[in-house]
Order: sequence, then C-alpha cells, then structure tokens
Amino acid sequence: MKRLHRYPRRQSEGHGNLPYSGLLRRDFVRAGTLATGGFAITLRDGFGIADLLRMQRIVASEVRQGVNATSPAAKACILIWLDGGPSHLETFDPKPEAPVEVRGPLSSIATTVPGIRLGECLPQTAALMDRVALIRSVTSPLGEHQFGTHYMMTGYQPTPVLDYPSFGAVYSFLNQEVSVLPKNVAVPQFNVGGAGMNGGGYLPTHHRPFSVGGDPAKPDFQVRDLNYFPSLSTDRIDRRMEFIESMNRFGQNAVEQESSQARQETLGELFADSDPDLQRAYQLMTSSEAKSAFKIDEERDALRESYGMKTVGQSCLLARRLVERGVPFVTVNHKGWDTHNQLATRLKDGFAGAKTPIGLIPSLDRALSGLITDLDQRGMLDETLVVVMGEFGRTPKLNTAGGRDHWPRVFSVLMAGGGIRGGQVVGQSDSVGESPFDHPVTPSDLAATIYTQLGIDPTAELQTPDGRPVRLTPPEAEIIAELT
Amino acid sequence: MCFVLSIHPVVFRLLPVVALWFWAFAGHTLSGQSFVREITPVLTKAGCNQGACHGAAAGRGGFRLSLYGSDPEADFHEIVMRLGGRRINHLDPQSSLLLLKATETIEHGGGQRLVSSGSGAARIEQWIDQGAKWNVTDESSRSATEDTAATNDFGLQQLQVEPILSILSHQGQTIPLKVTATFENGDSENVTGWTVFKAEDESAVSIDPDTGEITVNRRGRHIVIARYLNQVVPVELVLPFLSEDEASLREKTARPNLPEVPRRKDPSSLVDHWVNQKLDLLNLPSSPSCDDATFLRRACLDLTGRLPTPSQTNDYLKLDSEVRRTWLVDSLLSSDEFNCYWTQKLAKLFRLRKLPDSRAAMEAYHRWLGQQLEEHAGYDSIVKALLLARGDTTEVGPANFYRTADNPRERAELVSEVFMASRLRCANCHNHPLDQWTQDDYHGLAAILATISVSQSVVDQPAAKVTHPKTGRDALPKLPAGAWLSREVDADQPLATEFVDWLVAKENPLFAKAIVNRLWKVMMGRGLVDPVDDFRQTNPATHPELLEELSSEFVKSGYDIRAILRVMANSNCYQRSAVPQLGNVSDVAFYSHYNVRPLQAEVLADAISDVLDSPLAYGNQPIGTRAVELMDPQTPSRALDTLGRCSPESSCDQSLSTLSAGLGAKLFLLNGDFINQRLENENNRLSRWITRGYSDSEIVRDFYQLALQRLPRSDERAYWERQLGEAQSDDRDNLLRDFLWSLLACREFTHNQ
Repeated sequence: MKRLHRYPRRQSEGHGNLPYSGLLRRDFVRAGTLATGGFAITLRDGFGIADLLRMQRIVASEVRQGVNATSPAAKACILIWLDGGPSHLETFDPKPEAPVEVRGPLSSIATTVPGIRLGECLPQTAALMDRVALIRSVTSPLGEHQFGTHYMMTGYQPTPVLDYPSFGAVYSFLNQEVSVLPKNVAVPQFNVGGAGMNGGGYLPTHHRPFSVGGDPAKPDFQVRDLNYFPSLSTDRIDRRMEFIESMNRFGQNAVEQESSQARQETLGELFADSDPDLQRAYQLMTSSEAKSAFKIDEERDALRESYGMKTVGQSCLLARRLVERGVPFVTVNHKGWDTHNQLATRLKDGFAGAKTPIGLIPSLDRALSGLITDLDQRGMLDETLVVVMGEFGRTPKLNTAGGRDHWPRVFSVLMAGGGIRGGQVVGQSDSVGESPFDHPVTPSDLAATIYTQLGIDPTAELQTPDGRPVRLTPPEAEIIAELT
Repeated sequence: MCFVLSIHPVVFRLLPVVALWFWAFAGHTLSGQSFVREITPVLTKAGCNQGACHGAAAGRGGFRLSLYGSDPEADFHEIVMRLGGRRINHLDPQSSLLLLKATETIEHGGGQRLVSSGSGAARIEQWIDQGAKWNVTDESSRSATEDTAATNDFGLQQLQVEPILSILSHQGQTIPLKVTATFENGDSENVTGWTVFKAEDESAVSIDPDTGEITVNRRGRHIVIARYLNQVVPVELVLPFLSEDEASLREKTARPNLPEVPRRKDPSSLVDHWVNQKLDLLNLPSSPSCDDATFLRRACLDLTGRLPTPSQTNDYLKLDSEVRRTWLVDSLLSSDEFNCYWTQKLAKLFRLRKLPDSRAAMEAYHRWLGQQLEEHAGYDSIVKALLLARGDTTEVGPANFYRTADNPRERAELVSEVFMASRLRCANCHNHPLDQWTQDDYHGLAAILATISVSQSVVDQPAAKVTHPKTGRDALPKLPAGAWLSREVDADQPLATEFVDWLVAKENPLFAKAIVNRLWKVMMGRGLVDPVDDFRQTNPATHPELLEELSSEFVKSGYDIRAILRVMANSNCYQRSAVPQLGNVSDVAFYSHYNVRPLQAEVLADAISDVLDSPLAYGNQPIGTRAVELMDPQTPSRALDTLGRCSPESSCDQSLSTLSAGLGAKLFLLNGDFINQRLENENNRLSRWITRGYSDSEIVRDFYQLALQRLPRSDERAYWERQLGEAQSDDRDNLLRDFLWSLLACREFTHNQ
C-alpha cells in the first residue's frame, strides 16, 4: 500500500459535503462513498480487504434470493436490551388465570388484538399490539446473566473455544456501506450481562458496539470524548494522527525486517501498521455532520416527551436519530431488570409511594410505543427491526422477598417493524409460565430470524482471523417463519 | 435388528447367573441386561436426553429425562411408571409409546431419533420384551422412589478410547476410534456405536457418529470428547502445521533453531523440553530469542507491572550479557515492586473488594496479603489462612475471604473456581455434563462451607446446614469428587479444617496446578489449560506433562510463587521474540513466539504517569498512589474503566484481548483528559526538560529510552528531526507535546511484546 507522507486532511469543519442532515437513509446510502472522500480507510486487521469484499458479495447475493419478496428485509435494527432478565409474567406473558403466587402483584390489560393480553403497565404498547409480534416460548438452559446474555446476543452458547460476535458486530462487519458514524452503537453503554462481554467476538475490534457514554435523558448530554480537549486545535489533532501512524509504521518496519514472514499482511492485527479504531475515532470527531447525529436536543420537545424523559426513552430517540442517519445497529441498554425483590415497586412504581408509576415497565412502555409510532410516522418502521429482550425470564412463583429469580426455561421476546407481521403471538408458555407449551424457540432460532430479517443468510460462514470457518448461527437454528 | 439379536440372546442366557452372583455380593451393583447398560446409552446416543429436548430441567412434551442420562433411576421411573405405564406396552413391545415416538411412527416433535430397523430400537424392544426391568435379575422391578441422591452407580469402571492421541499426516485423513467400556463386574464391551462424540471445534474435525471415524480438516491440535454413560474421555488429534515436503523445502530459512532440550536438573529446561517437543510434533518453527532491551521491558512489566527505571536499565546493561537476564529476574523477584504488584494480583484472584460497611476490613485484608508476599509465605499457607481464619474481619485480614460470597452455595463456587479452577457451579442443578462433578459434590461442599457464619465476624457454626435440591433433605458434607465427611459435631476437627487439609494436600490434583497455570498465563499470555478457570476432564492442557512437572516443582519449592515464576522467566520459551516467523504466525497456543498483549489497565496507567512524571488521581486516594497500589478494585477512575480493568466479580481470568480497544478507548486517548490534562499543563517531565534547554534530539532520545527502553532507530531519528525541524519557534512546545502523545499512545508502548 502506498503510504501518504502527511496524514490526509479531514473534511473542513461546518460546511463539508457529507449528505447526512435531514436526508433519509436511502439517499445516504447512495451518497455513502462521498462521505469518505479524501480519507485513507484501511480495513486491514487480520481480514484481507479482498476477502471481506468477496464474503460480502457471497452473503449479499445469497440472501436477496432467499428472502420473501413481500417482506422486504430490514435495513437497520434497534435492540432494546432489558438487562438483568425481565419478568415475562409482568410484561409480555401475563397469567391472569393463575394462582396469585404465580400471577404476582400486578394485573393484566386487553390490547387492540382480541385474545392477546399484556401486563397492566404496558397500556401504550397494548394500543399498538397490531404492530408488534410476541414470541412467548423462547427457551434457553442458561440462567446465569453472562451466559444467558451471550446466548441471546450471539445465538451461540458460550464456549471456551471461541468468542462469538453479537448481532450488532456481525451486521456492522457485513454492512457494505462506508460511513463515518460507527455502525454498531450502544446507548448509553454496552455493559450488558454483568459487563463481561465486549460484543465484538472474533471480529475486528472496531465492530464492537461503541458506547456513547453519556445519558441522553440528561440536559447536558454529550457523547463522551467526542469533542476536542480544550487546548487542542484541529491542526494539532491532525499532527498527532500523523505522528502516531508513523510510530506504528516504524514499529512495523522493524518487525518486517526481523521476521522471515514474506508477506507482512499476514502478521496479524498486533503488527499492522494502522489502527482502524484510531482512524475511525479521528473521522468521527472531526466530522461535525456525523457528530450532529448525537444532538438529541434538535428534536421537538413534544416528540422527546412522547418517548418519555427517562434514560430508556431518550436512548430510543437517539437510536432513531442514528438509524435515520445510516447507523445499521443500535443497542439501547435498559438496565435494572434483575428483580429478585420488591417486584411491584421496581417494575411498576419506581419508588415506594410513587403517585404516577415510573418504574421499569412504564418507562419501557413509553419508550417502545414512542419509538414505534415515530418510526412509523417517518416511514421507517418497515425497514427498521425493533427487538425487545433480555437474557432470560423470571421464576413463575414469587420468592420470599416478593421478587422473582432467574428463569430461562421460558420467556418472551417482542419484535416489531422490519418485515415482522404484527398483532400475533408465536408460541405459548404453559398455564403458569413455567415451560414452553408449544413451538419452543431457542436463542439460536431467534438469531437466525433476526439475521434473516436484516437480509443476512444465517447459514453464511465467517472466518476467524486464524482461518476457522464459523457459521453465523448453529446448524440447528431455525427461522421462525410465522413472524413474517 | 438381526445383527443385534444374534449377539444378545447369548448374553441374556448367561446374564442371570452373573448378575445374581453380583446381586448377592455387591448389593445394587448393576450388570448385564440392565436399564443402565442397555437403554441409557441408546437414549443418550439418539439425543433424547439433551438439554434442548427431554433432558431440559422441565423435560419436553410432558416427558422428562435426566440430562445426558445422569440419573438413570429417575429416567427408569419416568419411562416405566409415569403416565400410568403407557410408555411401555408389555404385550406388544413394538407398539410402546417410547418406540413409536422415537421412531416417529406417530407424531414426534423431535422428529425421528431411531430407525425402526436399527440396533437402538431393537435394544429397546428387546428390553421391553424382557419385562422392561431395572435389572433382569431384579424380580421386583425396582421402584425409583427411594432416596436416589447417592445410588446412581453406573457400574462403569473404565472407559477406554483408542487411539487416545493421533498424529496425522494430511488434511482429510480419517482414523477410526474404538471405545471399550469395562464394567465393575468384569464385563467389557465395545461401545463405539453407543458413544457420543463431540468435537471441541466442529469446523476442524468431522465425526461419523455411528462408526466413530474421525476426519481432521484443519491443521493444529484438536480435542474430541467421547461420552458414554457417566464418563467422558478427551481424545487428542494432532495434524502438524506443514506437510513434511513443505517443511523440508523451507527448513533452511524457517527452522533455524529448535534444539532438542535434554532433561536436566535445571527446572527451566523442563519448560523448554516440553514446549519444544510439542512445537516439533506440530512442525511449528520457533522465533529466535528477543534482544536484551526487549527482555528488560518484558520482564519488568510481567513481574513488577512497571517500566524499568533508567538506573535499572544501566545496571542491567553494565552486566555481562551471559548473566544479565538471570540477574534481572532475580532482582525483580526480590524487589518491593514485585510485592506491591503481586499483592494486587492475588487480591484480584481472591476477589478482594470493599464491602459497604467497612473499609477497615478491606485494609486489614490487603495489608495481610502484602505481608504474606513480603514474608515469602508459601501459597498453601496463604490459602489455608484464608479458609481457616476466624474472627473480626476488621482485624483479622484473611477472614475477609468468605465475605466476597453471600451464602454457602456461592462460597462453594468461589472456593472451587479460585482454588481448583473448576466450574462447580454447573453442578448446582444437574451433574456437570462435561466433567466429574455431581450435584452431591456441589451441595456437599456447600454443606461444609455452611458451617462458617459470615458477617463482620467470621465464626464457626457447626450445626448449620443446606438443602440438597434433589432430595429435599439436608445435603451431606462431601469433599469434591472425594469422601463423605462425618456430620459429627466436633469442636476439635471442624468440617472446614478437614476440607482445607484435603484441598492443600499435595495429592490434590487441582490445587497446585490451578495456581501454576494462572502464573503461566501471566508470563506466557495463555494458560496451559485455557481458560484458566476451566479445568475439566474435557478441557485438557496443551502440555499436560509440563503442567504436571511444573506443579511438582512448585510443591517441592514449598509452594513458592517466586520460584516458579523464576523457572518460567528463565526459559527460552519466555524469552522468544514476539515477531512471528514463516510458519508460526497463526500459532497462539504453543509458544512458538512470545504472545503480544495489551498492558493491563493499571499497568498502562502507571506507565503513562511514570513517563510523564506526573501522577493521576484515583478517587480520593492520596495523589501519587499508583494504580497497582489501589486496594479497592472499584476505586472510581474513568481511566481504569476505559482502559479495561477487570471486574471484582471474577478473578481476572478473562482473555487479555477483551481489554481496552474500540472506538471509545481511542476517543478517550485523543480527547479525554487522561493524557491531555497532564501533557498540556506545565508540571510534567517534558516541560521541565524544555525549561532546562534540552535539544529536540535529546528529548526524543530520552523519551524513547524511558518509554520503550531503546534508542530511536535511524529512520525514526530522521523522521523526528524533519518533523521537529519544521517547527516555528512558538509551536515547538506543542510539537513536542504531540510527539510525546503519540509515543504514549502508539502500539509499541501500550503493549508488552
């Protein structure tokens, strides 16, 4: 690769020709390559760029054929992750007929779809039931946060042999569009399942979810470290980038001299002469257009309020802004669902004696309904897949602390948009929400379905840096055909 | 079916005699035509009792089997008794629901698991025809409602797989495996067809489930697990990295050095002996020895968690090159910096953390750990003290160990993970499917640890108990995979003492290995058993003999951590260059080159502070406290969080590559205050050097030495001369700051290589 002596200049501040603002996604896609004009993007990081392109071609062509023409694949996915394991019995799978120790302290409500009931704290979601589909028979053997999270987010049970990538990283990796915004973003932070997981698996590190850091519900919200340190100018930032690339290059020259390895490309990520993470950080921080994606205060107050002013609501709004500007995968991490005690307070009221319930479920209800309505009004719902899930459900019987413990044997997942047919329930749990009654769905099945909706063939293979072929989902994974 | 029938009638006729004999002399010992031997393997092989099917804790479709047949009595009861016995049709065995479902003669959610004419279906049919008994000799058709916690004896003495290790010559080569089961009654049987084989890496190895034929598709070392009844055996397959032809073609350039290291008295040679033997076996060339400067930086970072100081560097370089490295290792091991760094390392291993009520307790704990290192305490005595110390935790440091776990079960998990590197937690709800651990082991250990009452004071409470979830009764105290302990309340010999004596005994196969393997990972970047907290029968070490011998060295040395680190540091294996050579680039597990790794968060933060000569503040700790000196692993620090410090809930066993990386960390380096704050203010080393009038080339040279322990190479010198020479006079300070920033953020500085 020909080396540039000076580090290439970024777009000039303020009046660049990046086509983000106010444009819908398709325009952005067409203009996508413009966004990188002048940048030297090196994607070398263990995967050769040729391999990357070849693989994308294979995957893309296979998939387009396989997808039903009447259900166009989604272009983006917003995953609302209910971290800690949400109770299915108080949310998407209430059991009003069950004995009180199962039914729990909360009641249930009817929805716009006859025969489908939801937990009492989800009235706005109930009003949109025709837009959303529920899977009430998800089942997994893994009742520990970290293991369960890994299974749900990757479609694979954790194993010591290989660290699997989450959906977001895979989609980021396979997404062909070139963009300054990161392709896999987490709001506010990707510290899921006890924070033991980085989400990138065996894929290059820049496909890991990028945590925005700040809380979008706070008035002073900003993305952590996105703005220059006060005393730094753009010239100095440019200079630093040039210096560090040179340092890394010199290091690599020395390594090449020492190694008998003929082709330095294969020396691996640790000896590569460029640092893709650093380059992306630079592009992002020097593009005011890209940065404006995070300016949530540009949204109308009424719209902001329709999402609810809690963290999860404003995070969903930010997710919509990002998706609108071409980010293919956003994880909204809603924390606090590990409700081993005080179920009613934590799920409904928010704090003891609250006049208006502001607990976990009411916050989720506003955020989710706000998001679906907003996406719909903008004509984005059909191409944006919304998934709501956590790592497992909760025990059918209340425990002595008035809470519910971990329960992976059956739990629920909600999906909407992105070609999903709303107004239906796929799979039932038994009368007490203890086991699947019919149509058991594994996290692998779920992964295959999400990939399919995103236009990715779930049987496609990726290669790890050491050449191991790995299927996107395990061989036993089956697409949940009823959903589309 | 005919095939099977032609064998079994003979067996049947002989069996009652043999079995009766056994029944008389060995109580419940199983033999011959029994449910366990005939039916359980069929159910397992057909996948009926997998976690995703009827082996799920709740079963599936109203039919519930134990996971992988771990509880045959319950399975027998489920099949024969439940549903009013409708699963079995004694009059017409072929019409038994069990068979109709499994062969998908009637609708079955799990599809066809058995072919009607196959040997599995034949076995079941025949067993039903014989009366569907627990054991053909047992006329009462034994009920499974008795206390079943301890009676699941499979009667399987040994499971032998041949060949247990295969060295293959080419990709796509196929070898047959043969599995022989030997039972306690002396029977032995070829059970290859009933053994479940699973490749750890399915992309590398394909297996014909019926014949046990294995095909290896990728180069390297692969493990296949063979499971039959309650035993699992790992089978190792090695396909060398280059074929013989390719290797000999490249021999001259690619394999300059791989001397056979003879077994000598010198313990470091045992490392090289076994590592080189494996490299040879795999046909992996090794990288040459690293240069002295690299070794200095590497050893200082690995052993003391900090960069070498200029005076350390001078002392090192003054010495004769023959003795330099061993001198360095000895001096590092006896340094205060070693004690400080390893106090934190042990604290992380033991998951020391601040409890909400007491900082004093944490301080007592941390202080005590520091003392143990200063006094060169043996690891066995440290662990004994942790497990046996009693008293007020604000005064008795080691008594705090148990406080990191909330209840007896969590204590059992903590103790087994930390000291036996075993994931006993899987055995909470079911017997561990890939290891020896049973529910009795898990709850037996919990029962032992329940006899300790843990609050601010840790005291014995000999009468406390826990419930075994399967029996619903008090769990009986039991050593993991060992003896049941007497429940007699005996003040002189509490249960915990008995457990600890067993744990630290040199005969314990896991205790020494667990820590030696973790020490190995610190030095070599990967465990011989990896992940280092996952010792199990089915996750064998890459170099089992080496782990064995290093562990006995460790025991011989009096469990001396320093002694075993010295053995590792003085080996050629540790001193190899990190730069890969033709043929070993993809090696991550066999130590053909040093495994490059990012500096641990605390070490990197300290290194940056040291080069800047300007400390970073951590929470409300006194300014100047180093990150490796922090007691509380949750001391607030944006820097340590972003650089990827490990969480106190685990023992820092995760893979190093999961540490800091990604966009967020880079933005933090570019724009965060972590480096910028100190670089841009006047109180740092650079500002002082500028004030003293140092020239550009002096500054570049001296920072290279401080940060990278080497002089700039000629291309680097020329580059910096050109860059700094262009400076306008008012821009010089900023130019130098930007130089220093790039030095502190570049790959060579942020990694140990």
